[in-house]
Amino acid sequence: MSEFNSKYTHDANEDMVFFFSGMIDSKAQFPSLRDVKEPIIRIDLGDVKMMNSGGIRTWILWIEKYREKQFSFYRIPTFFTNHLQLVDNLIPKDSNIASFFVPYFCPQCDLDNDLLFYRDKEFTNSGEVVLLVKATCAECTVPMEPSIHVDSFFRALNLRPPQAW
Amino acid sequence: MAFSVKLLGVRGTLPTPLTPSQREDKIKQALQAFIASPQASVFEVQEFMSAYPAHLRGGYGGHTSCVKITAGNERLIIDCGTGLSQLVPELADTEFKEGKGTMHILMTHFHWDHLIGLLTFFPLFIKGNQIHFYAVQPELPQVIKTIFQKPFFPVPFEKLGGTLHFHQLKPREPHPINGFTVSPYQLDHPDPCWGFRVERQGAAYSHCVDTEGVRLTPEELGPDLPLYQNVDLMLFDSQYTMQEITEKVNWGHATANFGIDLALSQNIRKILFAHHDPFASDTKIKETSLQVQHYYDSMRRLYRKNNMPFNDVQWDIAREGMTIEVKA
Repeated sequence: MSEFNSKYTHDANEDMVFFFSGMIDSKAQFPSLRDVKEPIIRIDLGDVKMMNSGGIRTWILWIEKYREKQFSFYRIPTFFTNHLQLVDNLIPKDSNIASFFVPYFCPQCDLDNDLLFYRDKEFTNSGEVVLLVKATCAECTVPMEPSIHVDSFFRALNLRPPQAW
Repeated sequence: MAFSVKLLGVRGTLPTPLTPSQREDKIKQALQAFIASPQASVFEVQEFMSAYPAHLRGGYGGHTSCVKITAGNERLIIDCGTGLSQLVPELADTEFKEGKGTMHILMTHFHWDHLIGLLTFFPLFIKGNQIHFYAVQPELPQVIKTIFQKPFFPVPFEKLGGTLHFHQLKPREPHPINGFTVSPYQLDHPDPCWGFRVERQGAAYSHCVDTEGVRLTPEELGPDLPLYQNVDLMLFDSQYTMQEITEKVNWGHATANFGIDLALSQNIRKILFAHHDPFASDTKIKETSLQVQHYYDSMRRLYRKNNMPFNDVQWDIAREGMTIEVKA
């Protein structure tokens, strides 16, 4: 498992985005955000492979230093959402969720696949999940199903689950 | 069997007896559940009670830290919280009553919840008994002398009948004590606190209470890593939930999730979570165990997804009176 790494770049809109990757454990060295001038801190978590309990503590102690900042999170991994169900201060209360993964599985061959849900596509600004990503299994081509407890998973992200799932 | 570990006190900080109304509530709930159950007959009470959840039945216990380790006639005690009083009936008709007993007591540190059980420990008061105390901290004799003095206690240290022997342990070195090998390693606590690795016939028990678990990786643990490596049973501090741990920095106590991660990375086969928050009800402790299960399941999926070897760990919430056989 590769160690935690952080880098930043600017996206097509010239907005600064932090990309985190590897393993978030108690040794993870998060960047200082004190001098970031952007009104919104954008963090992409899509390449983070694991976050254990020591990492959860280190992360919270880091992010709570920047309570006055506004955050936007991209590509939130499913394990991060699982942790959010236990620790609701993992992300600041008024954070923006731009996209997150939902785990799916094939009922026939058990193949797993995480599918990305985007704001303004699968869920709305007002916090409602409106569209379910449909996917077929790459191995046996049957429709895949989400492997989550729908209610608690979406509520952890401060979203209202869809009416019919 | 190499040895057995009995938990005489698993509560942290303060003794937490059930209040009369809490007892009444437990009885009421049990009766309601019994009446509603299909086997509601007086002949089925025992069967019903056996299946009734432990946290509703007797709860987790309110006595503070004390553990008894035995192998045949050889015995070690770790810490002297109010749980030590549970040992009194067991010793009442033994050689200790006649002033011919020998006891070996390891002390992790000297916070009140690890000391206060000494005040009613009768072997100390009977002439002829030999009580051996062991700790890394050099102030051990002074601490014991301090608690046995007025106005804290009516019997001064000089009037204790038993003979007290004080042994200072060298950190991170093995010490043969009464048939066991005991190695102290430092825990993460505001006042110095030393955990113990206790070994016998290839089996290892690791006593990790009180600790905040500030250091979790091999690099961070450095010379204290052996406390956690290849252990058959670990007793680990879980006073707080994962949420609370980030709000109680430097309070000196950990969360069960840290223990799970140590177990997964250091080949710990079984963990019991102890030092329950004195303000946590039995129901809250049970809810915490569901959170630990959620975390454990989540980590299992992550390990597999990342092609990392995952060795299943047995874990449970410590209950007063539990006895665990420790084998290699």
